[in-house]
Amino acid sequence: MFTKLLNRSLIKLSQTANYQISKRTCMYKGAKTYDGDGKTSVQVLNNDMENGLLINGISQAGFRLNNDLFIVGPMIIFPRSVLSWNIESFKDINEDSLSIFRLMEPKVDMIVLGVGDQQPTPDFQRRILSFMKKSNINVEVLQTEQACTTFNFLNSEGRMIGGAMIPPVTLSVSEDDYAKYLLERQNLLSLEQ
Amino acid sequence: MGKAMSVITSPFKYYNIESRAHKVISQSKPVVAPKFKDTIKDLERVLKDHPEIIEQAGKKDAGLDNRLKQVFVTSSHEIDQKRVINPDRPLPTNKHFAGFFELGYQEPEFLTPGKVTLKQILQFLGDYRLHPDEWTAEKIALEYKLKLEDVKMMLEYYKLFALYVPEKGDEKKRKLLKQQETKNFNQLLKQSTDKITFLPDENQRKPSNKEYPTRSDYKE
Repeated sequence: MFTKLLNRSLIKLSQTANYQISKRTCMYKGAKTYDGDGKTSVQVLNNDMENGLLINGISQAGFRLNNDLFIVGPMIIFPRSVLSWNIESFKDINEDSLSIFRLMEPKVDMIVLGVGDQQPTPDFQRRILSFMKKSNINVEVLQTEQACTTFNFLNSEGRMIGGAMIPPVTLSVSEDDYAKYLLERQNLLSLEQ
Repeated sequence: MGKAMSVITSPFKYYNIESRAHKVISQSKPVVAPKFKDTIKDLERVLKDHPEIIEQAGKKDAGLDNRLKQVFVTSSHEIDQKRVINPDRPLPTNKHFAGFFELGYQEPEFLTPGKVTLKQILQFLGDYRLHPDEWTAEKIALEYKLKLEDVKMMLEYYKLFALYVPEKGDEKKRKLLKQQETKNFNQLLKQSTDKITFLPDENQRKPSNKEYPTRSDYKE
């Protein structure tokens, strides 16, 4: 029963995957970004393992990473490592529960804070920023879905970045997500029966 | 008015535009645009006053040619070809890609007391999970030169993940994961404490106290 629920909630799998259009040869020449028809190629960031850990999907239970592991519960994620974050809800996000970023050396360039599915209030943001300013660390407070994509982009750029994410309580799942999920499981046809 | 007019005229403007464009492109020699009336008048006037100008334009002027040959561009600025290389800080000779770092960034050589590296955090969280009685918060604080309250906070809020491999599923993936699981576990057991030297705080350091190596010691 639990696994079924888990499966159903894993629908967001491919939505958070980021796409970036880039030309392979452009890496060496570094001149153009677009080179006419038939000469550009799409590179899916989440398929390249050399970008480090990226988040492929989110659900109420946790996160699916690009190495196919499923993380249960809130997590602290770094370019190539993941820790479990032992907090209950966004109310527990405070100076103490974010202490790892304060104590770490080298300091992270930026923290992406995913607070779940509710909109982060200005009050909350001010509170977080006030104590993060003390240790001179930039914070981006976002909803988890946006936080995941932001983290993916920043990590694939090779920055030293930290993410603190809480899984959302509710997920808005579109038909597109559901179809993609079924396609991934290769039983799209069973939808029509 | 402009908008209304364009709505009316645009269908006529773009009527048959594709074939008209192709017709223009497919011409072997482009048709020269007609000259303005004033330009034609000017040209006629010049030809009337100086009819020899057409002949002159076709001939090579030896005087001008000679003058051009006498022009040289020289530069008084000297370029130092030798690069000044500081022997104390030599430039790297190996320019090959060194590979990715284990945790995605370079581990620091020096560490301020009261701070930890991510590697050390993973280490003591692992130690704490395997032997919670042995690796107490006090011991960790002493070992890594941290404040006790910070360590207690870390142990409360951050945990290592346990890897669970499902019994059903892709056999290949499961095998890989199982291998990873044992490898990680062995690594965790084998890893000794990091050999990072601690750098004392500049303000607190006493000149006679040589408990930790300083930056200058490290250089020698």
